[in-house]
Amino acid sequence: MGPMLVATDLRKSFNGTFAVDNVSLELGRGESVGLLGPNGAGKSTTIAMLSTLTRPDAGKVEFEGQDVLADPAPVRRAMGVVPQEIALYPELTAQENLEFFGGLYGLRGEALRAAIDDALDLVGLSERRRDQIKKYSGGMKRRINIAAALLHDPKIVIMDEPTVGIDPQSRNHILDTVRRLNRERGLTVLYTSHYMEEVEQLCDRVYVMDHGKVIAQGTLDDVRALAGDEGAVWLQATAYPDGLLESLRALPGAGQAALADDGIRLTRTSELALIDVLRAAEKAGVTVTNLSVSESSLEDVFLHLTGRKLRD
Amino acid sequence: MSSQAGRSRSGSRNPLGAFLRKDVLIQVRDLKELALMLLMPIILIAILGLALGQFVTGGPVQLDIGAALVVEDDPTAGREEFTRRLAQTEMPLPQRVALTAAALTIQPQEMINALLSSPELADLIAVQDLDAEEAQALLEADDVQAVITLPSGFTGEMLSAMLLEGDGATMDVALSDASPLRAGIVNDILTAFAREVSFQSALSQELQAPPPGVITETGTVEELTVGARVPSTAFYTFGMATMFALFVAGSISGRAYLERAQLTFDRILLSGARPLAFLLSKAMAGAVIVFLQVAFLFVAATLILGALRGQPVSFWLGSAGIAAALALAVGAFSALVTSLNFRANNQAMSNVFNSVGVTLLAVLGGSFFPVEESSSLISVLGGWTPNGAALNGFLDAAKGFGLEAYGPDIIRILVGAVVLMVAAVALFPRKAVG
Repeated sequence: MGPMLVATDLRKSFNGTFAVDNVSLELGRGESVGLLGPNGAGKSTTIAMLSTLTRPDAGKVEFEGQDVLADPAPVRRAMGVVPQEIALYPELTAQENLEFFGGLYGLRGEALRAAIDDALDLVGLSERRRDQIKKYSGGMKRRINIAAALLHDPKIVIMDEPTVGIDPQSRNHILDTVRRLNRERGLTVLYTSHYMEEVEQLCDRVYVMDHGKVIAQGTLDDVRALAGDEGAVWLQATAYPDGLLESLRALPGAGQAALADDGIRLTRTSELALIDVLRAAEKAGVTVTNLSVSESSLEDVFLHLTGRKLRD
Repeated sequence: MSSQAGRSRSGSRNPLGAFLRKDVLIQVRDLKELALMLLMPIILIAILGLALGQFVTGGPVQLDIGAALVVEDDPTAGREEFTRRLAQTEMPLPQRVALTAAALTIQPQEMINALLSSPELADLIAVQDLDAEEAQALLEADDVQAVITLPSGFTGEMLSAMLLEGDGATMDVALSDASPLRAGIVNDILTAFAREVSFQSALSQELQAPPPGVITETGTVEELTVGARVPSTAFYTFGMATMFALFVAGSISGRAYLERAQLTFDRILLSGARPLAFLLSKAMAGAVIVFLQVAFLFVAATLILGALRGQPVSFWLGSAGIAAALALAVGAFSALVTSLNFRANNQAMSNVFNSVGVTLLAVLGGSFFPVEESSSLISVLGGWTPNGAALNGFLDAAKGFGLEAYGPDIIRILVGAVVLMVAAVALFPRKAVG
């Protein structure tokens, strides 16, 4: 059986600037795929084209072998889209919102009630169904935003940054929901985020985007290997004088070095000796307060490929 | 969830009901909008109805004019004088007998009394019989605005003027300088009366027919009574209801754009609903909300202010038809402004409509003052605005007229609604998506 959703050479420009430039990707049935990249990388535009809300300037999208640009109806019926914004009516209760959107899909009577009960149960908000959305916390709004996309029992769900700006408890709830949708209910998931750890937790494969292009793709291991290193060293010191980053980058086996809020992150290969890191710090006149080593992550991959941190 | 695969195919898809329920719920839960739609009109009806009511009622105007009637004339002596003058003429005897008989039926003082105490003027002028000194004192104090004096010899001169081609009778009228409007009205009424008497006298002499007896109607009085009287609170109930109905179009279209900006519109499209169904739902929601709004205002104004109390069932049925037509027109306005907002990709048109558009339509349509008192151009234009035509229709219904009177108004409103809806559909950006 072929892939469920295939996008080939998608291009989209706004005012002469390419938001998406020759992006190709595919999703197999039951897969959980991550679309990773910083803000402005072109993830949302890609999703808009996949879900038929924006027509690409070039390229094509096929759902189960059918051209969705020629006939968007089948993919729209089979797809649940969770937009980055809270696409709900604040004046209505959760129940009323779900009744409205379910009604648009032709759900009536008992089928509608069952779908709403199921969706609310999945996102853990059954008890708050009678509350107006405007009275919900940010995390609860995002959970109902997900529920509204699941009412019509889609085969594939696309989530655009579903955890932006919410508390850790709600975030964990959403991640758990996505995991259950994929692993227990067999939904195909395309999950976009600029949080590396979320994609690492949820996805089997990943596409990394930057400046409208896919710059890396494959399984998590494949992509991690692209970094060409085995992880990173975190260095915390009493100060971070000019020249320290350059000294670290010049060490044998060192890769990219970047100053973050909590210290210096230095990608590395097995050739990097930690004693050399300590000596470089001593030579720069600072005292090391903490030194830790981590395995290579998608964050490292992005840093390796672009020279920038993902959340810059 | 997966156990119920294909849920969306289980029911027939008619999203208009879902759209309508959603839009009405959102509208009624917005307390600010509700206050604008329902509370503000009631307050304005009360204020305008009490403050400006005298100028808009369409019935006898309540100006509380006081007039004093000073009678120095002696009717008996006047008839004797007329008989003496008649005897001095060279008329044939049969004609003199006929004129003598006619003179017995003419009572000039009674004609004045009948005019001033007629039902048509009773609400307008309060007349007191006074002597000259008392009348002058009240006039100087502006307690009365006119002193009408029937001088000595008035009856004789009037009979001579009417039957013998005399020079005419003199009636003295002293007017108050302090209340020129009210004094002028008294003067106009008496002038019209005198002109009418002169005309009918000339006519009867020309035709050699007996002159009229007591004159019971004058042209001036007839002008003041067109149809049944419409209280000012009723006028402003119609005026405010038709004006505030227009705000619904701005509100609905503004929310429609918000749906696009907040991506609920995208979610609607992803469900497979057609963009034109969305547009049609805005027209439908606007129509339903306006009909409910007008119904509420009519009932509330009647219960609170007594505006439409006592109106027959035929009025309420007619008003329901007019309100339904108005609702459809405002619904079409909602769709048109929605289309313009979507085309411009902002909600500026809703703001412009609610500020400039509604004000212009309200003035043209006569929500604040009757446009028939304005130029004919404004009157014609106003009659073609949905609110103006509806206002005319409501007024006709309130005056007791039937469908033959307000039917053309309903047709004008419906024609306007169709034109607006066609424009809305033509302007709605079909390629907003996809």
